[in-house]
Amino acid sequence: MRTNLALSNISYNRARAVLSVAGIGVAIILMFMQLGFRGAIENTATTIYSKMDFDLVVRSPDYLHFVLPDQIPRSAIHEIAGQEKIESVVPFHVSMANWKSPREEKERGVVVIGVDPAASTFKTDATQVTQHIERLTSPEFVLIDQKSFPEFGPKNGTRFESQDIGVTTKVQEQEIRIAGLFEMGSGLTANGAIIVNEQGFDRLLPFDSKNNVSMGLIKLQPGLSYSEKRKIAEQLQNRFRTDSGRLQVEVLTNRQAVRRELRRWLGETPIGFIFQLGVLISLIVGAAIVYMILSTDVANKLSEYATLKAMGYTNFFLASVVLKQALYLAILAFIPSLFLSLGLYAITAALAKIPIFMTPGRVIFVLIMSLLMCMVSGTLALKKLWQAEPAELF
Amino acid sequence: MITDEIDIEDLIRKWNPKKTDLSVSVSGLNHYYGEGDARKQVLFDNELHIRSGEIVIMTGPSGSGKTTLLTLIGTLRSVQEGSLKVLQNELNGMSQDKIVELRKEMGFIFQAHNLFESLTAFQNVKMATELVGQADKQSKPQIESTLTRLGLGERIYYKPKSLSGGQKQRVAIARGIIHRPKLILADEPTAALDAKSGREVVTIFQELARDHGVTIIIVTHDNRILDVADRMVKMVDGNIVSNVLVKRAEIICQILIDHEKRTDSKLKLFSQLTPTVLTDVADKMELRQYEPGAEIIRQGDIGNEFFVIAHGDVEIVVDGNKVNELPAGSFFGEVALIEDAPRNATVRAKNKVACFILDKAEFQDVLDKSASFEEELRKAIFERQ
Repeated sequence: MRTNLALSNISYNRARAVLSVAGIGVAIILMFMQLGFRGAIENTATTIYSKMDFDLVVRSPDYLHFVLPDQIPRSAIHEIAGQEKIESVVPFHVSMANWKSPREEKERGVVVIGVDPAASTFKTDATQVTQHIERLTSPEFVLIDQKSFPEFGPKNGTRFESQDIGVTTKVQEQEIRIAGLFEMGSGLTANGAIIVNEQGFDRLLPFDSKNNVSMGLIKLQPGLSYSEKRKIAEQLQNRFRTDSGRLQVEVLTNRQAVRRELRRWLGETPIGFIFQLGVLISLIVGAAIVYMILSTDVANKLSEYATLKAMGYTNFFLASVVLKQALYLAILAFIPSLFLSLGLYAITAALAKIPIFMTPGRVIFVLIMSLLMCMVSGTLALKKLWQAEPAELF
Repeated sequence: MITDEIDIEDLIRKWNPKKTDLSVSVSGLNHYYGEGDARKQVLFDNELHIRSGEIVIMTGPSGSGKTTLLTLIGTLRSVQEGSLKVLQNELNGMSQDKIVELRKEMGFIFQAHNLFESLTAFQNVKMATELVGQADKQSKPQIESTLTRLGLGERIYYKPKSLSGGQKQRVAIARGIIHRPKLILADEPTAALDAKSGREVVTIFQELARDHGVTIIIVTHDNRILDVADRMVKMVDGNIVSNVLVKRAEIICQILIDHEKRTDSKLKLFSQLTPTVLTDVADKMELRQYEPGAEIIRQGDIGNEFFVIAHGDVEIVVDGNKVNELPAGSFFGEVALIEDAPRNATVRAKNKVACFILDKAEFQDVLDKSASFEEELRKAIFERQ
């Protein structure tokens, strides 16, 4: 077996190896956390969409994001309902409002969703959303999201449960009563959500649900392919073009709507950029650490490397020793960092109530980035290696 | 008999290397350090030819250029001016790839041993065998026995940190020789060693030189090992001020002068020579071996060579009649050279014979250089007539 000089070098100086691994590990954990937060935003931004039951959505071209959807005339959804291959179009209303905690005077932003309790707005398998939907028989009744933060004032101080049903409080200064529960998660704009019926929505907000809707959820006849769905969406959209060519509504497929929502949060707001920057900074920090470790190591061992050269080892071999050390450090640091990150994800998910979890894609991505980071630094550290001058050995 | 103590086979092998056997050939070598105004010449027109299997000891004050010359020979510096052939390869203008290849045929022993601190003694030595592609099965027993021989049997699997200076030095020596290099370059290899291990090291060097034709160049000030040198090279201020084949001069002294003294011969052909001329003559002499009965020269032939018997006895035959016998230490063949005449007798080996031989030109050269040699020779010729 060939003597593994790189591995020997790492295991010889244990203290330094542990320090190196810790340094690189911090960078890797930072990367996992940044990507985790970014992933959480993706999950959060689309969490409501993922629970809604629709093939296409019709909405205003001025739609900004889920809780600032603007509005379209209700007549538009009636018109669409009459088209071919359309099974149903369900009105959907959404806005932000102020929620007064039943336990204190303070008000919080809450997502208000207005639906027709009789229509199937949410997926039937999302039973935690639909179990109490038929209780919305009065404009004063609301269902509250059990994932709402404790600051919304559940009786037990942590989570809305059945004992909160019947509690009254105010939304937009209007008296409401908690009639039931659902479980959804409210997205990025608020820490809680409620569902009301259409009259309730008009009551709480300056909205005319008889003539306007925030969006229309379109269900198509079953058995259509995605490209057919896209074609229908396009055709529908073109029906609402003004003479000047301006679109009055936009019709998107489910997938397009989700993608736009992600782009809105990650591409058009600084949020996505912040996390990308975070990943980049982690990479730079990690690379700097690896570079410092390796170049110090090479400098300390310069006479050993010079000896290798004098013996007849090629520069390629010398470089491979340094790069192998970088590789080993990356792998040694990655494994514990992965497990630590899993722990930190669990803690973050529990404390911040955000859907942060590890995906195989992210593990692979961070592994590749870690290896790349170490290899790049290793390559930079090689510059020192070329200073190894065997003539100086005598 | 002193000559009987000499291993004649070994002597012949050492004495008569083929021309292609030159292991290192330095010719018109200049070297400079620095650039521009700071450029300083450190080697001046160096000339040095070392044969395979020679043990060369280089001495000289520090700054004399011996280390520079050593690193140049070791391919660790690039040749600037002149010719430097190592193991039949011209280093001047050689590509880096070839240089790296050539280094595998060399062994370096550094004063500052430069062991890999993270590897055991065994692994340190193994780095050298791996480079030349030796299989573990083959190299393991070799490494272990070499280290054991160097007194490190108990410490084969220790790391340098747990070894004394002398032990580290011995590991470095093992690393420098384990891959059977053709050329070993050593810088003060015995400085850190006690007398016993120092002796063991030079014994190993001698074995490598004798049994495997390894050329060994040692830069040292260690008086204890000077006796192993075949050649002593002394450098001062970038010049090779002396380059002596110690062993030849020694052998000439042993064989010839001792013989002259012992037999109380009136012929003081070699005893009279100054050491410089003697080593000069020794350097030019060829050693040739003859089987019993072989004709060394034949009557009537053109004479081109001068013979000194190093070993054995010869018969002088004139016109088919044996007229005389000559023992080791005697010389013959000078008349034809001096008088430019055909051989006046046949000389035949009586037993196994070895002769030192000078050719005509070299013989003349020696005559020119040493009046006493000529005088002694003439005296000899006169007495023989």
